[in-house]
Amino acid sequence: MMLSPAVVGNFWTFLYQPQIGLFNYVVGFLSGTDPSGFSMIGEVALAPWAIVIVDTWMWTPFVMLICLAGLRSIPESIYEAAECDRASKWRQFWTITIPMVLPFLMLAVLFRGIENFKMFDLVVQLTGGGPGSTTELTSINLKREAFEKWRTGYASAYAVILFVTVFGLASIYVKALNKVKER
Amino acid sequence: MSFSVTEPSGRQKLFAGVLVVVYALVTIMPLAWIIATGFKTPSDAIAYPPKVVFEPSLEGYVNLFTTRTRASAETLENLGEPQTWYDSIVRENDMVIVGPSRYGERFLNSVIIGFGSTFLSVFLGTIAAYAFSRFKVPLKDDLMFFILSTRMMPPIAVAIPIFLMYRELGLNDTHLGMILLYTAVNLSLSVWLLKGFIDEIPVEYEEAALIDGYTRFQAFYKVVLPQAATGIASTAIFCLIFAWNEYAFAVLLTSGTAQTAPPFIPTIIGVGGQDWPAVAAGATLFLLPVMVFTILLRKHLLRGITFGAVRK
Repeated sequence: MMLSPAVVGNFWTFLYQPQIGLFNYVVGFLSGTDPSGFSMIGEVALAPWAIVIVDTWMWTPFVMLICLAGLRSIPESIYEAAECDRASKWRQFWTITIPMVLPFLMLAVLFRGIENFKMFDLVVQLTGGGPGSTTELTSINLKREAFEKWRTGYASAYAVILFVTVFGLASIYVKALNKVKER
Repeated sequence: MSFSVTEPSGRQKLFAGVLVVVYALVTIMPLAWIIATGFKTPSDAIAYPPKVVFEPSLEGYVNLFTTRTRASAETLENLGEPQTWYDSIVRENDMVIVGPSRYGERFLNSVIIGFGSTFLSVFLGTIAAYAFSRFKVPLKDDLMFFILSTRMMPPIAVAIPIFLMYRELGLNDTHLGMILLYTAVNLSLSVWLLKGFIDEIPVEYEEAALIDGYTRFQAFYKVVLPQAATGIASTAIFCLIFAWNEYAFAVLLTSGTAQTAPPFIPTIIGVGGQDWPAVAAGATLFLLPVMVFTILLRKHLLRGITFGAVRK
């Protein structure tokens, strides 16, 4: 998760190659389909999933670390008390673990949300917004408007709207997060 | 052995262990594949089915660092025996080395810009964080949130005004311009992280120093800085990693002299499409420092990525 998304994205295009890519080979091997029969980046239906897979691969460890920190913060004694009260494992999970980890989970969602909203490096290298404009995210659309069509005014207005949106959503979310924390 | 009611049973532990190992293997696979591909020959790299066992070759690394051209049989004969080991690798493909590639240059750019901006942002960040931590600053919370909010915009959105400004100032595609830009971007991270680290140092130490006749600056220099050393070091590494990995600004604002490695690596082209072993070799060399740093940082990793929000 600390690695450069651009370089990693570029290399994943190699893993996604229809005939020679490792990913296609493994999927083909496991499902019995022809590894050259599909192209993760070239097909409209699969291209968004190609990004989802790489992003998940890159960032699951981050969410895992946050959850681990949350789990470590729960004192053992609460579980022992629940055990004495004969609460089932399932009940313990829902009434102790989840509420106590919730602030950490929400924090993870906040960070991943902001990060994914401005995702650029990975997608540019992986699909370049294509095929066509299937995976053209806001930031890629913005880049095309600003640096390829040179509509600077339009792009700047677009950027301001984006900023206000993210800033507004993040503030609301942080307020909700603080409320959960206070409980 | 004491019996704990919350301790999972042996079978549960085994199941969880297997799950973790499988996940770790799946996660490490693409990385291992990058490193392995760097040591393959181009034909091995694109073999079907993908080759797990192969004869290691340094061709990828040689191709990464050199520019080559195809030579006719006559020219090759006239050249005589290859002088060095990398010469002989290239000769096998009927090619001759005509010079070094741009990779070394780009790598050096990454190093200069990374270290320059890290130094500046940690220096400014320490001072700012100290002020935020110890003094009454009007609208402190709002200011802190505003500093953080600079991170919420897609870099592309910021790049438009920066591009226009830099064009006027003549900073486009210069080391100085990139250092200043990365300093500005990293400052939010360093202020937030360092404020957390400085907050943890008891204020009593400084008060004692002040009573003993130290000036405020001396107290900061002689008492706070040594205590915050580990915090400053890990903040510096985080800034370095972010500047090192940065792609969006680099690809839009640099094209020649100041281009860093991330925009360069994907443009490595071989004969007939991308030269995957060379790309993999470049990626390996580029990712290696980050992997080492990440391992060094593992204690503070989470804190760094969450801007100090989660402390263990």
